[in-house]
Amino acid sequence: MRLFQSLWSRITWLIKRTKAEADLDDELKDYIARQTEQNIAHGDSPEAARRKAMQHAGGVEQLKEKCRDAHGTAWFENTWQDMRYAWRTLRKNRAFAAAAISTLALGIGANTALFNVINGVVFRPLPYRAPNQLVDVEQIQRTGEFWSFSYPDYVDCARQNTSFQSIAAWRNQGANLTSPGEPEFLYIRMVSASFLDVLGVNPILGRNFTTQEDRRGAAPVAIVDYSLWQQRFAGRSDVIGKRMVLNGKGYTVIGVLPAGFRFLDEHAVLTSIGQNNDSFIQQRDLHTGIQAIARLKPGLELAKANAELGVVADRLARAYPDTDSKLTFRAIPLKEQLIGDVDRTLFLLGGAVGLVLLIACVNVANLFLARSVGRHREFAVRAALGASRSRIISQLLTESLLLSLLGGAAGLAIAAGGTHWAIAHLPHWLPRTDDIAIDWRVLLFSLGASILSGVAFGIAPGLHQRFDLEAALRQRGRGTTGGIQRLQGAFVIAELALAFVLLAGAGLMLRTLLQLWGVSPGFDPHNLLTVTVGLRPGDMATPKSIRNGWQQTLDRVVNAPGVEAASLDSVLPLSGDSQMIGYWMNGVAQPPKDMANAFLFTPTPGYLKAMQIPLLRGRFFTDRDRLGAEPVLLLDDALAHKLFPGSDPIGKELSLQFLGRVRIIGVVGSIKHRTLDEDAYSPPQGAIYLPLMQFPDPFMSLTATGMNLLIRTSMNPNLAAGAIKKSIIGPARDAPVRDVFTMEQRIGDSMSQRRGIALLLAIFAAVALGLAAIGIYSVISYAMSRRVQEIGIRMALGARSQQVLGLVLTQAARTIGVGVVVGIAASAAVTRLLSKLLFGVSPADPLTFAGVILSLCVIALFAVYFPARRASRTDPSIALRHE
Amino acid sequence: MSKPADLVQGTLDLLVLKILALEPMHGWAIGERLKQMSKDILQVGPGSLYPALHKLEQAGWIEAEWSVNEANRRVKFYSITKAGRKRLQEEAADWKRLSGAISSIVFET
Repeated sequence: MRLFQSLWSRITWLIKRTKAEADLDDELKDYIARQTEQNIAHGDSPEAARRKAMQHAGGVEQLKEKCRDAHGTAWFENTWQDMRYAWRTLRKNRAFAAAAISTLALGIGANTALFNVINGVVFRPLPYRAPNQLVDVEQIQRTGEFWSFSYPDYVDCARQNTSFQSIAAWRNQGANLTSPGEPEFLYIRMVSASFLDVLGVNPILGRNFTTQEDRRGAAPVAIVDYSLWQQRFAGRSDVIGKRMVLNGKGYTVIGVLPAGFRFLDEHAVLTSIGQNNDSFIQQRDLHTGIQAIARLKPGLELAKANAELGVVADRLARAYPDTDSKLTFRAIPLKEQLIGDVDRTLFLLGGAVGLVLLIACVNVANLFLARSVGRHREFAVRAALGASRSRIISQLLTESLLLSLLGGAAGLAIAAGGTHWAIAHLPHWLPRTDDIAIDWRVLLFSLGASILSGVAFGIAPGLHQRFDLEAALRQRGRGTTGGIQRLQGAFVIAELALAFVLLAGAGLMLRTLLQLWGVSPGFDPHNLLTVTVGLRPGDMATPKSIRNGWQQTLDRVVNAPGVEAASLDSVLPLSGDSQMIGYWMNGVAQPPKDMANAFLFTPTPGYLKAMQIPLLRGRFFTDRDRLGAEPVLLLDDALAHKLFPGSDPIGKELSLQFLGRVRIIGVVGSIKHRTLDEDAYSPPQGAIYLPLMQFPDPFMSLTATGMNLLIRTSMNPNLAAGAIKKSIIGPARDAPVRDVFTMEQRIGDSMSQRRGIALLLAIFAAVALGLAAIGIYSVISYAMSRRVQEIGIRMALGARSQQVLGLVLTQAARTIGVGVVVGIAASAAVTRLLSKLLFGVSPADPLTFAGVILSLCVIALFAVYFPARRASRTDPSIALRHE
Repeated sequence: MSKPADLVQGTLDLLVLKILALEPMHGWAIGERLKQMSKDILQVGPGSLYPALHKLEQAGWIEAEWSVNEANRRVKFYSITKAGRKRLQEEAADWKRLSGAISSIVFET
């Protein structure tokens, strides 16, 4: 009740303010009158008595102000007053306001945009039901290395587990959709019946898979995604029960996914994994990229789930020692798995963009400082009229907050547009970009950033403001400049140091990219086109027809205009995909647990010519290395050295998983498989090459889901692409093609994260450099304008303009030097954070640092030179009269 | 001229409440009464007194009434409220306890 009463009294005071002011006036008048009377009674003259009474009160206006404060309404009233005053002041100084607001909009906008991304990728919950219960389940080597599930291991893991409400396996594959409509190569996902249940998603039309449909031999059924439903079935509701043909096999459509549903990347169709008849899926020792997601039981800790997974893995290891003794399971939060280590990178970029905002604040603080000097008299008068020091500082803060809020609002608009532009135009490396949207967290962030920057740049000039009434009034508007120069010197140093850190970061990333481009991938990526291709519908029936189909595809490509050589391959190097095969030495088959693994490529005879990989020993495949001939393989240089150090591998045999004994007929040069910098992290794993056309029948069927073509062109591959694509599709236009990229584009994509970071850092550094140059320019211009008289005197006494210029430049150079030294120290401490992203350069790379020092000094001196030159050319007679 | 700091923090409120508990009076008279009652030891200037009065009024411990005097000047008379009397009792008790405690230390022989 007290609170209410007090609030009520405040409000009535506000309403009756005019009356209250009159009351206060009368009350104090009464006091003065009585005191005067008493003084007269003590023998003073009437005038002296009155004067004494006023003195005793200590200034009537100040006393009134104190009484108003006592009512507690002062804060509200003052702020309102300050706001209106600030608004008027800014309207009168439009150029100043525009400069400050646009600088702040840039700084706050860049920060809000990046926070928008961080929020969408890292902070926002996954767009599924109760997303905190979702985990990613993996089958891994006991050494910790990732290893996908084999289907039998998944089934056992799912059946024996009690930690999960539900668990589901999924596996991506390419598929050739041949009906309804034109053939098209698309990506589909084989999933357990429980997949949508785990995520908490329901089909908008039709139904989910049943467990009966998730069994071997069940009738093939499919759930299509929203866009496929629209495109292929015209969005008709009678789609349920319709037939579609994938990889030559008929599926019945049983459901349609909601629009916008997405799990990892886009997939047009879900089919049931258990229904798959391929024999490979029943092999316990074949790990073909099956992954799993699960929903933890409510309240169950992840550690408990992991402990139970360990128990299950131990049980499997005892039951199937040959295949499972070196494997175990692991569950991690699904969000963590989707984000990977991107959060670290984003926070790093967040730090960088924060530095840009700091520089922007320093610039605006400098504007404020210069302006506040000109307002000395204004504040002196206000102080004389009863304003306290804190009252004037709060006035200044109100002005700066008003500016920063306006800047923040403009920044929010920039961020809203800029984020989407950046996601669309920067190298694609972020997960979860669909989840990036402005929400309350982003709004709160930009509000917080605005207020913080408003306080940051408002407080420095505010505290610097002097309240020496008499001095200020006497100075005719010219403040003592010593303190301001020191503060502005500090501003220049701070700006240079901050810009240095950003330039050093951007420089190191650019050097890393240059180093990476300099790494030879082991093949020639120029004039090399890559295409993902599917079989024609009629070729998918039997292993024999598949083999023939691929041969025909290859023949069509080789005869296309502009093609020098071409090869099929199951996996493209540096594409992010890889394929492994297990082997044993000396041609003696042993349990799967004792096998070693190598990268597997399955090319055709034109491979070396297409890729320009050197043949080091022996021979490469020919058309005679087909099914029925002696099984042969080639090793790459790395594997040959690892397995046969100092001896010739030609003619020796390896025993391969599922394939048995195979003779080594040659050695080829090693290439990079996953990334250009992979050797920096682990020793080369080595690769085995098997001739595609020698694949036994069961494995040939696997290739029906799509292959890649590597095509060496005699001209710019982008120009040749059209004709090549046409020849692949064939006269009947029924062989689907997708992902036509040059190898150089693919290599660029393999560096997309680093390119994205480098580009953003370069943008931040450029903005920082620009802001710092503007800041230094305005500091020096201002300092020169304060020194016009001094320079005039020097020149009147005989100094030549070059001497004056030299003097100013030397003085500025000292400050710039300090800024650069602070920048070096700060960068040396900070660039270490980048070290995981760097390649071939140390975080303290002398070349980068030297480049940054040079460019920063040149730009800073330019920013100093122009105002200094202008000052040195002043006419002394004008300068001396200048005020 | 005594500033609030010269009086122990908060004691000005106590003194004002005590004086007004005797009879309603205007601001100037409160200062004079304080001086007189303390035999010129305690003096409070308007710079402290008036803000204190406004604060006590705001808190609801004292209330004001306007009248017009013989010189046709408006005069603001303060009087203590019921809540103010209760407050006075509490503060007086606190003061007794506090000053007793301080005395017992300072004059310990």
